[in-house]
Amino acid sequence: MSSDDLFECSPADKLVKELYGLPGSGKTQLCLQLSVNVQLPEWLGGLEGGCLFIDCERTFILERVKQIITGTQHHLQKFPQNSARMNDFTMEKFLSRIQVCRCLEVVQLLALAHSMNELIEQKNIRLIIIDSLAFPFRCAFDDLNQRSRALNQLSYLLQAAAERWKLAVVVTNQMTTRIKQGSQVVPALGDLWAHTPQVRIGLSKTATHRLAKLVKSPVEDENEVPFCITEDGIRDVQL
Amino acid sequence: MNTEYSMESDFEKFHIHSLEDFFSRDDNELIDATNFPRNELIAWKQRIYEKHFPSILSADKLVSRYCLTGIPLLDRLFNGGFPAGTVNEVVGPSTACKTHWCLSMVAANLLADSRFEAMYMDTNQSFHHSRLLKMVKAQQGVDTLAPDAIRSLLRRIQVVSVPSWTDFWNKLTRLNECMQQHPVQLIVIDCITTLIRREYAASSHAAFIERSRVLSLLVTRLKAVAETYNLTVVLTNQPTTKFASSIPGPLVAAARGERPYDSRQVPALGPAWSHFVTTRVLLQFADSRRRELVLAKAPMAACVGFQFQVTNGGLLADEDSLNYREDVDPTCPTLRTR
Repeated sequence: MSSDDLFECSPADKLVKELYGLPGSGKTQLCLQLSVNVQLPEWLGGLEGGCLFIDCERTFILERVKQIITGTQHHLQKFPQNSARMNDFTMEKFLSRIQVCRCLEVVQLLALAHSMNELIEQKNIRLIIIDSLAFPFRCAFDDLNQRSRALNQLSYLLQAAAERWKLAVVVTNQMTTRIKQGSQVVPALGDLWAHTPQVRIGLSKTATHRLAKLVKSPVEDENEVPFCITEDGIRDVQL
Repeated sequence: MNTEYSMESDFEKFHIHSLEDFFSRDDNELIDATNFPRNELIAWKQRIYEKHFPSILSADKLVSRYCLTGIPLLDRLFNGGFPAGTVNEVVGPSTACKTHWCLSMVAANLLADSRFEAMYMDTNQSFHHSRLLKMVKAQQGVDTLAPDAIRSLLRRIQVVSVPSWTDFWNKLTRLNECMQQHPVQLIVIDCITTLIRREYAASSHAAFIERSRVLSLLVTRLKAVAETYNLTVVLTNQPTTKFASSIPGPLVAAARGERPYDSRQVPALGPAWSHFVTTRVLLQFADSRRRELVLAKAPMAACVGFQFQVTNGGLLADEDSLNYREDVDPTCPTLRTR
């Protein structure tokens, strides 16, 4: 299995995918790469559409996105059948198809989720990314019951959007320490949230490369895929 | 349609406690609480969504702004500097030159842009005007500065002494007043750990919970400040000792009478904090004589490290020593002390 297979965003499955991992494990880098890849033609693994990047932690750094776009442009030039469409893949066109929404609070996130149909239709959004879902929810609620209910609302709205508009949803999550007969580092947002995403991918880092572990999927077995982060973006690595 | 009930100021009438409470209830619960007919409820909800709908810009309309780091090599690695809207952490043991670097960062930005303004939140009297001016002179390669030049520089830096958590929190929550007269682009907080440790020592489980709550508030506030005013926050952090068998922290281990058989120095404030900072830069000692800077977490650049020397003008990077440091754990890196 290559990293493309693991991270593929197909419209047919209308799934909510979660990427979780410790800080620096590559969640944001993957999201930035996906926000570019979704714009590519279907025969190259894209969905020929735009991306709604919901940035809850100010991780959408323009310079890094431009580096990834440049890397993608170099990759596209290798395919002569694409040469007629190179005008669609200039830096400005790539950037214009990523809608960046900075949400600091849960109420903004929920207001957006309730009213985003018009935006999805106008901008041909095929991928919604939330980076990270954990931050606004971990900070906003003292009442865990209210937090669970708000999280359920948001999950329902994301799933409904995925089904109605046939798009993919990718959400990143942080890690927390669970103290129960020793301490264990587990994805944040609790056990109730853990049931929501149909696909869960855990990211980790070794001394030489990074690992993406598919821990939950309706179609694939558990699997582990190495990848690396280069100046041009996410790439496979041969071990 | 009853337009009186159009905004959340009327939540109390309907026993809705907050916006979060409103958003977490479904339509049937809201109809029970408000007695609105369904179509009125939907219109009311729509007005509230529109009020809180966040702004959306396509990426080609985003304007990137950044603060110089004070180290030209790092500015090149970051394609400019620390981006606006981010919270960046510099962590290192005592005498690692955290304050020296922060001052040189302020100096570099003040010199590069005549309209640049900065705020220095000083928790332990580390800031001295004379030290900043000495740095400016060294960066410009001059021996003296004209009185006008000195006034222009010092007028653009707000030094705020915040010896207690209350002082710090008051200042952070009243930034609006300051920003109207001084539109600051960089806030340096030196050193955040001193404030937390002074008043929220995690010596018991209950105290640990309280500290986690305060850190969570701090995190939200700092992110909001960075985002609202589109400025860069740089804060300094110190190491703490992590014992192999201690949960949740070293003071608790000591209170339990556990001996530190296996311990290492890691950034203070815990692993949740590691998620929160955009960039984590380690300043440490490669050996007893050489200092090094390592990017433990940096979305703008690869995880690299390089050695540096301390000069009057700041930190001077040894560009030949630049190497990849993929072995460094961003969450809990081991800090090398002298």
